[in-house]
Amino acid sequence: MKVSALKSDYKVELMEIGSAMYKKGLPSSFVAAAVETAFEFEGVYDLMKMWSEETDKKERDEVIADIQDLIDDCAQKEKVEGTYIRFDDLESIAKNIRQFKDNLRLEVDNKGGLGNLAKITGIPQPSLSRFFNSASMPRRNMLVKIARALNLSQVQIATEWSK
Amino acid sequence: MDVVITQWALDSYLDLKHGNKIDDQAYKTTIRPEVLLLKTYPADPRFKNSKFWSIATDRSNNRIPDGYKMKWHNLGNGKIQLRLPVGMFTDAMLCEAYVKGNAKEEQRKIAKFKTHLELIRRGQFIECGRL
Repeated sequence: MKVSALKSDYKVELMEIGSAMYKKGLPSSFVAAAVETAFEFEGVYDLMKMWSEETDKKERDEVIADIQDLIDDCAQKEKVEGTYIRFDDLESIAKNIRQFKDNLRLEVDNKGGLGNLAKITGIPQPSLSRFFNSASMPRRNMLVKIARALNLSQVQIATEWSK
Repeated sequence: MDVVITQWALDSYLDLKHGNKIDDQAYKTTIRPEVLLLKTYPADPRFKNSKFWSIATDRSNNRIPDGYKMKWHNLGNGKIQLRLPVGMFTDAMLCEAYVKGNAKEEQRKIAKFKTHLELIRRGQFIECGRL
C-alpha cells in the first residue's frame, strides 16, 4: 500500500512531521528526502510517525538512522547482482570493512569530527555514527559524499566491499 | 523454491558476527540448516510452529503482505533471540536479521522490513547469493 494512494491528510501529516524534524535541527535535504520517500513507502511513513511520537532522544536518533538507511535503499532503482561471497570469507570481510571504516573515521576526526561532517554532507549525525560503528558494507554514494565534503582522494575511499 | 540472500541479510549478518552476537557454530548447526528448510516450504512441520515461524505484523498489528519471521530462542552462547525476516515470493528472500530487543526496536525493524519487501516487489535490491 502506498501512502500516496491514501488521503491527502496523510501527506499533510507527513509534512508536519517533516517540519518538526527541521525545527529540531535535522538537515533540510534529509527532511525533504524523508518526506518524499514516505509518500511512496509505507514503512518510511511508519518510521516518521514513530519519530513524532517518541520523546527519548536516543530512540529518536535510531529512527533517524533507520530512515536514512531506507532513503538510500529506495534510491536504488534496479536489481543488482552483488558479489557472491563464501561463508568462510565473512570473518575476514567484516574485519576488512571495520579497518576501512576506522581509517576513514580518523580522517573525519582530523577534519572536524562527525558533527562537522553531518553539517557539510546533510547526512544526519545518528546515521553517520551508525555507519562508522557497523561492519556492514558501505554504500558507494555515502563514501563519495564523505570524500567530497572532506576533500579526500578516491584512493582514500577505495574499498572492494562497497555496494 | 530458492533461498535468496539479499544485501540487507548479508550486512546484518556481518554486523551480528562482528558484534559477536552469533558465531560460526550457531550458523552451521542451527541457522543454515533451518533456513534451508525454506527450499521445501511449507513441507517441514516446523513451519506450523509459531515459535519458529510466524507472519510479520506492523505497529498497527496489520499483517504485512508476503512477510514472515523465522525465530530462534536462546541461540548460541549468548543465548540470543534472533529474528530473520523473510519475504515469501517465487523465491524466499532473506532480509535484515536482528536480535530481538525492546518493542520499539522491533517496530523499527519491521518498518524497514515492510519497505524492503516493497523494494523486492519492484526489483530494486541487491542479490548477494543463494543458499
